Amino acid sequence: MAQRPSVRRGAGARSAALAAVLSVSGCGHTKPFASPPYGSDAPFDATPPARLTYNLAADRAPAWLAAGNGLLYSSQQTDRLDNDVCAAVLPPGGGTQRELWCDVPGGAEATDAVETPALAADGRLGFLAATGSIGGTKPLQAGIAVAFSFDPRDARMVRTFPYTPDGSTPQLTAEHLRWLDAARLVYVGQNVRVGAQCAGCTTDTLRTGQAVTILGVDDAGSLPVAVPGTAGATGVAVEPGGGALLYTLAGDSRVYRHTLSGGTAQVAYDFGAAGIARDVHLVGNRLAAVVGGRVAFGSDAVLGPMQYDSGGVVQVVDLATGAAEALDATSLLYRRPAISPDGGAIAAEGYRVIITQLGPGAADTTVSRSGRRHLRGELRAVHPSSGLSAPG
Amino acid sequence: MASYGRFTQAPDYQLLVDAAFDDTTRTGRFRRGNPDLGFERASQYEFNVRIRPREALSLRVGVYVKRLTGLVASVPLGVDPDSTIFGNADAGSVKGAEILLERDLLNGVGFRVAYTLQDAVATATDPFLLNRLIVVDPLTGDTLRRAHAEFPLDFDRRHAVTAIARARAPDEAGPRVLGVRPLSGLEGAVILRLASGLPFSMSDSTGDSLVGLPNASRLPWVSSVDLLVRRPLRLGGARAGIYLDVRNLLNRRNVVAVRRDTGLPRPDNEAVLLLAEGAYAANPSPIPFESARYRAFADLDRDGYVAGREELFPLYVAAARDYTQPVYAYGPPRLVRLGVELLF
Repeated sequence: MAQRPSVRRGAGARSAALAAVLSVSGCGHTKPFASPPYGSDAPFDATPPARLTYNLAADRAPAWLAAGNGLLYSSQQTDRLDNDVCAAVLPPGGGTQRELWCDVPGGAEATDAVETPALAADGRLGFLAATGSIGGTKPLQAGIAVAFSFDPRDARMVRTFPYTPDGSTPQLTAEHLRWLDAARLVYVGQNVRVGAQCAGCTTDTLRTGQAVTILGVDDAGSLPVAVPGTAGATGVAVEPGGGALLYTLAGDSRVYRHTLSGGTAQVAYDFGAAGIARDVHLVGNRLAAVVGGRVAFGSDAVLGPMQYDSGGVVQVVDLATGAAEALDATSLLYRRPAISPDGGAIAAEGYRVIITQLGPGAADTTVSRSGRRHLRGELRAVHPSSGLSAPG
Repeated sequence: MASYGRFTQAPDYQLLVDAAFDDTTRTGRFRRGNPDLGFERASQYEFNVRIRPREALSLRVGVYVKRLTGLVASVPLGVDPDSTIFGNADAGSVKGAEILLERDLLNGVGFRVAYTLQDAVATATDPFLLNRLIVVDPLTGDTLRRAHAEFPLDFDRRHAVTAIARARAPDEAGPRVLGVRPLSGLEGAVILRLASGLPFSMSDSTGDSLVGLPNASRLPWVSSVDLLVRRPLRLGGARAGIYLDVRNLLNRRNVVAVRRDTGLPRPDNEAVLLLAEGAYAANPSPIPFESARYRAFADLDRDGYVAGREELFPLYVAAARDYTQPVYAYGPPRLVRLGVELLF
């Protein structure tokens, strides 16, 4: 039997009288126009590995918000005349973009890019900011910028490229930004060349790591410091507390650990026969790296030794126990994985592997591309099978 | 009674400086300001006859002619349409007749009915319009100015009727309730307004060329009925009142503006499709799932993209319909005010 709602006697009559007075007095208000909610906090297809973005251009470098309640990433736009690479925020499990910031740092009259974002525990954002003329192939100005929140529009430039750190080689750009502590960023300083490999070939952007580099963000214009022994770096991660760095080198399957106080380096983990390791990221004891896949170590006529990378397999290692897990996915290669703050999920750039049959028994493998210069990355979420172990 | 008056008024001060209008990327949409603009002048001749056929009833019939000179118009300095300058070059005339029948408030009832017939024309209808069309003679190459032609002014309302009925209840009217007579001194008024439409100029679908003569088209008639009921009060030594003021009692949707390409408040289907086609051509890019612009209902093949004409174009048509909503085409709707007034 349904319960009668608790209603005071007479209240209905008084309400009706009040409504009548209000309707006569013109105090009633019609509801304002509203549109139904069109957004979603779930991915279009949750089948693992869940595809988070469907952008026709490149989506790159996911970074988790400090509370783990969102993903900040770089998203190139196909429907903008200025070809901006914007900063976007997704719900943690995928869905509709909560934010999309473009025209940073240059404005509507320039091609701008927000790349390789890094979020600090206090919510600050460090990123590579670049701006150039619309239609140009390389930026006219690039540098490291820091914002007080994950909104890049209020950022200030703390270091412009190019520069040459003491004891290292010139750096023209950066990748793999991480916060070392509240006052310092660490990243892989890189050399870059924009051009075609041959006459008639597609213009491409080639990057090669110069050194793991540390930059103080409080003193604008301060010269970054290169970490010794990191020439050819292909990834860097920061241990909890900021006392040590993990990094990878080109053509090397090992992950190195560099203690900042002692200045010594040792092998933290070796992926061995699994292949070349790069793109390391660390949360607690959980290390994620891209290993093997479509990667080659060779030499460029201008840049010298360099690593060509179209993605690989995400390997997750518990550094405390040494247990490793390969998060392999059919027809996908990954780059730049980012572990969520709780360690339960990894967001990474996913690249589709295209296998072209050349003839009986012969096939060629390519990785999907979009546009002339950018690999087309779509963000994917993958989930390690075990939980995050306590930091050691 | 016959009267004559001369009036002057300063021109709109924005015409003293350079001005642009409409689509400024086109030629002929720029006017040079003229700091030496003079006053606009009017000479008015008026003749009225007033009779009182019965007590408290009066009838007034009048005619008037107002000659307007020195109105600001755009004056070409040559054949370059952007060399045009503002000047006191326009002239016009307003002719009209008025009939006013009024009954004073007697025995609690009164009314007033007014009708105006008016014709207001000038050589230019707007300061931004050229006061005369210029043509270049194909044989001699001379710049020719055609004879003056007059067009209806923007305020040329041909017919206007206003009727006001008033009533007031006596102080002793109605029963006494708790020592108060609710109907005592109750006042009421009903106002009927009826007017023919103002003129406007039709243009082509691009909006940059007139179709026909300036101000050759008319908006439809407008009408409204207003109601005011007031009950005087005394609060101590102060006079006060409670009133109910209803504007546009019948909630009539008067058309006060129309699109110049169709002459209607809404665009026709062809204009909506043209707008949508332009927008779609400017941005046919697919909309991915994560975009805030993605709409699941439009993703017909459920592939995570709103892509292709079949999926995108209906969205552009819907947006074009929203964009062309006739927001400013209609007059105010019914407005009801219940208020208390204190007279000091």
